[in-house]
Amino acid sequence: MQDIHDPSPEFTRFLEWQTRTAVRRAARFGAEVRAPRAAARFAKIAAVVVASVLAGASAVVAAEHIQEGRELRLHLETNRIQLELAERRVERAERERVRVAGLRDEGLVGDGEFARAAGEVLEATVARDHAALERDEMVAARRMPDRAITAPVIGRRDFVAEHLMLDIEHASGRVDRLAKEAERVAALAGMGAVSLIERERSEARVEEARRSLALEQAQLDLRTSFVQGAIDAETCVRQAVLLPLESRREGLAATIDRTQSELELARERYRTGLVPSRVVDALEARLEEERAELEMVEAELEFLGS
Amino acid sequence: MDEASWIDLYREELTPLYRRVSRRVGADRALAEDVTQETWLRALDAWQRDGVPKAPGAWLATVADNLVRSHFRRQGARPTQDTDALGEAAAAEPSPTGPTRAAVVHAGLARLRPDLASIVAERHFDGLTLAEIGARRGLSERAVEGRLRRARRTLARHLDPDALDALS
Repeated sequence: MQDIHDPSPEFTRFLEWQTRTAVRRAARFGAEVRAPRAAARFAKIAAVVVASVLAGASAVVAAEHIQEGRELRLHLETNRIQLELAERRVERAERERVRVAGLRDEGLVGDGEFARAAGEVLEATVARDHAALERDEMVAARRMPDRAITAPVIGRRDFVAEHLMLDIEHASGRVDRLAKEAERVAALAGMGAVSLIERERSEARVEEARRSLALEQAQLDLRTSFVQGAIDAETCVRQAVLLPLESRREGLAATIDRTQSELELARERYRTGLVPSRVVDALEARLEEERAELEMVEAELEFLGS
Repeated sequence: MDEASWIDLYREELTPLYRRVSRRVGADRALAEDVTQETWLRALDAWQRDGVPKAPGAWLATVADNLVRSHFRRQGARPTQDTDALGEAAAAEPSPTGPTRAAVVHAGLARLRPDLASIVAERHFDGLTLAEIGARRGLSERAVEGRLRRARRTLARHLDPDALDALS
């Protein structure tokens, strides 16, 4: 039994989370670039103009440098505000998660409610970390963020890979969450509390999330191969275009199978008068749309020579 | 220091810090959590800037004690101005370590010299033996006992008998 003078588990978890947040924030904001003062800014602009002219560049090129510098500063400022908002969203989500965890422990809400609160924490954290990465990239590269698969590595940091790793973390959390939800729905379906179609849809959501995760992982592998020099830029770009198309083709094939089954079931029910004809019509229209999209994706893949 | 090291340090220091604070605020959970949180976040801020001290526990204890004292001071001089009423409240408190009694004790401690107050606090809140208190200060048990007696005499002038019993 807990001693009267021992901290509660909720408080311990909450303060630990605050500690993590404070440490991460210090790590990020410690490297923040402050806007230079007016005089210094003028001196920098002047230096760019003089250097450009001396190097024989035209005044247009010098003006472009200035314009880019202005845009970068504007983006840095926007990013700073986004980061602050993202931090607040994370803090709010974490407070809510702790609150819901308490309610769940008391049996007042179910696991589904807690999973949603935990999901929001993950979403908010990933969004904040993406914003922080963009800030780091702008500071390190002195240019706008570039997430192209063949973007250069800045110093020792591969920002493209870091973004992909964040996406993988996010996708992985989503798979876990949806898999748990699917288990819950399957148990309810076993008791007859939800329909089999609901169960299939819930399983389909897990499959779709797994496909997204696999796609993110494949893109990270591709990026790694490019950075290590195993493939050239042209191959890398081509593969980066093909990967999502192939994933989409796989997803559509599974969706079509499912819609086909739902349609057959709906036709049967329509014959016995359990559902109106519009349910069958809607499913037929959906199936047609999905088949058309699949044809389009296959045509694109053929064009790209896959 | 990386994030994992900060978390290790947090996990090592949190429970002793919380217990210390909780004992000093009469197990008032909300107040104990507020003071612990404030202490730890101040520590984190200072240690990230200046480095972790050699004895982080002592650093935390000092800050936490100051925050607790400030809290009871902010609550006003009420306990010492109206000791009879607070003595009754303290006597009515079901737990000998309840929040009301803690307020009375702190009001009394505020009247003592800091060295005597810290001896009383260690005896009353932390439950240290005379030998343990003496060992921390290089004093004999007899010397500690004498100081506690002096503290009690001073407190007797400011607290009612029920509240005084809490410091026995």
